[in-house]
Amino acid sequence: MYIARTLRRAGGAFILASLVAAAPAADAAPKGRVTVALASDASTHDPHMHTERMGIIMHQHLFDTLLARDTKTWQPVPHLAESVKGVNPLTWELKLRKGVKFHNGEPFGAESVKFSFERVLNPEQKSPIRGNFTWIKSVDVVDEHTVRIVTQKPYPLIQEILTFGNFGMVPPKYIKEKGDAHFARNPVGTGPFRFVEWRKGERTVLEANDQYWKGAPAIKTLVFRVIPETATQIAELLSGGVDIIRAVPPDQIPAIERSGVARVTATKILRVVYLQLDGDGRAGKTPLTDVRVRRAINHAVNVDEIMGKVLGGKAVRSPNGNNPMVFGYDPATKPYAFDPAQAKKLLAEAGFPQGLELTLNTYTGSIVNVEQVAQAIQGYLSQAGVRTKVRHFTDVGQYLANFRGSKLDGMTLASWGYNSVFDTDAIYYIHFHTGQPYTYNSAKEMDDWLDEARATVDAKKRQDLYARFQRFIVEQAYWVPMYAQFTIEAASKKLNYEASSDEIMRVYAATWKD
Amino acid sequence: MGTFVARRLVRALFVCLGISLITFALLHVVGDPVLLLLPQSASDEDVRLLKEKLGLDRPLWAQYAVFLGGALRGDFGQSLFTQESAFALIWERMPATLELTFAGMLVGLAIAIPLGVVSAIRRGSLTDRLCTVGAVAGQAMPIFWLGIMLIILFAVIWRVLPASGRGTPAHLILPAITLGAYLAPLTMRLTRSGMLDVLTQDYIRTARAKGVGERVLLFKHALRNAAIPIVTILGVQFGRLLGGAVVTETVFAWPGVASLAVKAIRTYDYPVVQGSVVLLALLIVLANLLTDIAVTWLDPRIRLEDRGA
Repeated sequence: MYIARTLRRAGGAFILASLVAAAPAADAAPKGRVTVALASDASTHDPHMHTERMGIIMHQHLFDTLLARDTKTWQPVPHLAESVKGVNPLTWELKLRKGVKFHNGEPFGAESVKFSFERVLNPEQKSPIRGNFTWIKSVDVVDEHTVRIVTQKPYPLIQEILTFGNFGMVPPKYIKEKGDAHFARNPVGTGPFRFVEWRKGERTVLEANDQYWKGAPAIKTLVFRVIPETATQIAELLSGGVDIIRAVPPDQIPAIERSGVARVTATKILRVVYLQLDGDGRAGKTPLTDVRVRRAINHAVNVDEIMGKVLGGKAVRSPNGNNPMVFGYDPATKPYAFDPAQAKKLLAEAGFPQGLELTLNTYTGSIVNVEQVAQAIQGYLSQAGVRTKVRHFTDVGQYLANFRGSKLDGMTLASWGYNSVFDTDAIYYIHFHTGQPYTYNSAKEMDDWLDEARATVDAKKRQDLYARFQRFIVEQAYWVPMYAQFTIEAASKKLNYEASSDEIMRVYAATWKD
Repeated sequence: MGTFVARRLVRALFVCLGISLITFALLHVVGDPVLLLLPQSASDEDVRLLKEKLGLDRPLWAQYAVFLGGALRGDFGQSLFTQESAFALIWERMPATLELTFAGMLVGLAIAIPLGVVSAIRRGSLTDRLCTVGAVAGQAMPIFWLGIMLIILFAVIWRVLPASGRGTPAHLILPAITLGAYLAPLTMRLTRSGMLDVLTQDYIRTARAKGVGERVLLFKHALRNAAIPIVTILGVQFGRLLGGAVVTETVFAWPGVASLAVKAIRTYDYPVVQGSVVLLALLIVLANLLTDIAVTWLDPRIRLEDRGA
């Protein structure tokens, strides 16, 4: 009875969502050409065979996922699947949209869905996203437009995973006939654009799919150009060579706004930035195992000032390290107040009246203005008596290897992008559950809450568990929670286009200004 | 000549072997591609499995042996990211890099040789001094900065040339000037000093005394002799040019091997890095070989020494 009620709740959300889904089709025929600059190329046009952001951006235009996101609430909404309903705690039924065709004319249906799932799950395929789907036991075709997904155990994140940018639906017949290598260079999907040309390292050209089930896009030709250098991207934007660029450095915003030809569009994204403290002493003996030292560090850093001065206000405060946009975020938790005197007092109580020295690890990668943020933290900490030795990784691979290899001693200025999953599980499980690769703080009660929230599809219960969890980690001061970042993009003034919080560039939704 | 070339080729083989060994060791010591291939949330088990599948769990010497065995057959393995032949990926990009490098070299020589000759003839003049100052400034100028400045001037302000990319001849102009400006200063100074050296030689004085016209004297007698150090240095400069191409390709979004290699290095795509490095090294070795042959042709004395040895 209880399960039936919770399933109804989960399913009910979907039926509601389906009423507001599907944007109206554009009436006018597609026209014009839009060029988007990306810092690197996709390594493949097979959506299942990579985890790269640039590839995901391009593939959202070629392929459709089963569910999409509402661009206001960022919640999953129907897309190729019209509804997702729980039949029992281990079985989900997907009703598929009818009349959808792949670009080569092959019809989309239950067999395509089954094929796409089984392709990713097949170990021989070596898909790097396989790990996100191993909760699936089987995918069964019920009829031409209905499939059932059977899970190993109750899996609350199913709707999130079905929006997953890499998991576009692919055409079984085409791939079986032509092979994976051909498909990777000549992709065929059901998306708003069809593939025209790929000149590796240079450009990918797409053309509007006039037959798109949501109506043809407003833009006729869409070009993704590879331009690694930010300065060159901005020059291209200002000279009219490209129409949209992303990852604009905050200090370039005024120049773009002044240009008269382009404007900046920025919005909050999933990536959160925080200072992780080695509370377990996983990387060796450290004063950070004492909660008073961790609280002192929390009191010492002025996060609001960093957000204002280093990021020009382009950030959203996070009191608990979680992103306010995701399911399970607890708005009731409050961050530690900036109070250097209190920090010093706590350090003295912990036996460090003369202060102490700690490593501050940082890396070049996803954190905007990382050097300045690290320097600011260093400055605040020194005022409270915490001397820092900065260890900066210029290479993400090395940083991750050290992170996973228990070698990040002291504090780490880290960030997390949730793998585009708008759910609390996506950040805390991997950072706080015993035995997980990034866990530097663990406790029995945290394991229990995380496991319990993972094993139920009852939304209310999950929310409660995560609220308790967030209060606990703030009280224990395992992290210095900081902020959620912004994506800063810039677009030609000829276009109606806005940046998205899931960092997928929705050029397919852009329209021309008359 | 045959044995000379054969000996050079054998030496080239050892150079490539040495380079591949160093590249291999450096890359494997520094990082791990598996963590970049998988989502950050991948479990340790996923990491272990992928390592096993890619053969990265084997001892380093065994991995190197596999690489070497393949490389000898012209097979550098498959890109870890695209699962395509690394050789094919690099080969696809090679025309763009060669086009840029040769265009850069042409621009560089077109600037350097006339200015070098003029400076030498008018030694101490205002022209000479301006050229020297220009050469010093050119050598000190970061190639990256020059590229961006050219883009801002020609593409953003005057809007007469495209800012980046490849396709039309117009796209080649700014990158070729950037790379040429990188090559020109040293070549110009060498031409100048080579010419100065030759112009004081006895045979020039004799030729002049015999009444040989000034133009014939300069281009037939002087420049041909001064060309020997220039050609020698060009062989060496070719390596520098490829180095300059890394920056130029990045600034101008030029889809060549250099930018492919840079991305591969960042992602530890071993087969692509090793393939690019070995192929680029081969190109440099080949350029040096051609230089040696050209110098031998220009200077008969070297041929004689070689035969005598």
